[in-house]
Amino acid sequence: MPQLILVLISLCLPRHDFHVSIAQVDYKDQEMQCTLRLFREDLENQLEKDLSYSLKLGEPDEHPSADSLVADYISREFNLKIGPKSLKQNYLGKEVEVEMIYLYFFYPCPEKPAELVVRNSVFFDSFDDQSNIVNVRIGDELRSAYLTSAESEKNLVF
Amino acid sequence: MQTFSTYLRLGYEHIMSVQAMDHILFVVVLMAVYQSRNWLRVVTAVTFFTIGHSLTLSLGALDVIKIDKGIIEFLIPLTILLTALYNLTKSGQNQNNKSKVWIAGVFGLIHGLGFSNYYDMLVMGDSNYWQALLPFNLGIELAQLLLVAITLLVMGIYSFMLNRKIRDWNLFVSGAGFGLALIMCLENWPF
Repeated sequence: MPQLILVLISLCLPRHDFHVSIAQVDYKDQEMQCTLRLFREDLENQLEKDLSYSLKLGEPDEHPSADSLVADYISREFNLKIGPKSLKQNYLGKEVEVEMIYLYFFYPCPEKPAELVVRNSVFFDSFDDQSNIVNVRIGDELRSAYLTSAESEKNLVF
Repeated sequence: MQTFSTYLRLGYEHIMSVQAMDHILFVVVLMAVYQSRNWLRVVTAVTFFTIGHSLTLSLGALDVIKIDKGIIEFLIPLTILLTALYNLTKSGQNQNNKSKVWIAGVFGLIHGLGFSNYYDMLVMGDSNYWQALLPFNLGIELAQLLLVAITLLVMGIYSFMLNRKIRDWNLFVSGAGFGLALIMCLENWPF
């Protein structure tokens, strides 16, 4: 019995596995240039849900389909819109660190927008407490969206 | 939304979340020995805690100091454990003892390193002091202020309306704090 109580208590205790991502979007050279930083483990678990093999992101024996799976997932979950019109995402690549993974992609955008709708619903179906921060810089103006499963997109006015 | 309000909210929610229970627990245990009429001493102790953690949060965020995350996650519950134990000693229960204030300040330094590890996850490239670090820190203080107010209220109700001795409250809170902190220490054992 005492052991059971200990186990129950330790289950309720904080694990410090924070569910948070951050993206930086810069408007430069008629493009929205994006860097998205995620926990490597979370991304791997997410992508491997429907797979029978492991992706080994960033490792020497990384699975050949890894990049296209990452690109697919990000194009589904991360969007930029100007009014009703979605911008087209172009995936550039990724950089893997021990804990974190950086994804690079851009959206062609010939006209400097006055408003931008950002959506980042990465991992919302995996974690209730996932929050995604998107910081956008257009010219000298910096705006920020704090996205959760309750509010997965936000209109930023510049 | 402005970046300022985003980071203010992130700081606030960091304290008000289950994940940050260790910070809440520390503050509640730190306050446990004080009678309501000594609320000013509580405020002094909490202010020293704030000075301590704001200092290391800033130094950590600005990359002046970097300490291994695993060690910090172990040291934070250790500060709760030691404070809870100290609350059981005669000197720890002496309301006029200034040592509590220094403990709050020094232990605050450790908690601030925990905040800075979390803050690191919230910024990338373009963040700066005024738009991210300052509001994040303010958000933490706002949440902590609210927490202190609620705890003072509960302690006031306990001693005045229920007419119980704060000594009993201290035993209850420090006992619970000790137990929880001990489990957290063992879970985060870095050696």
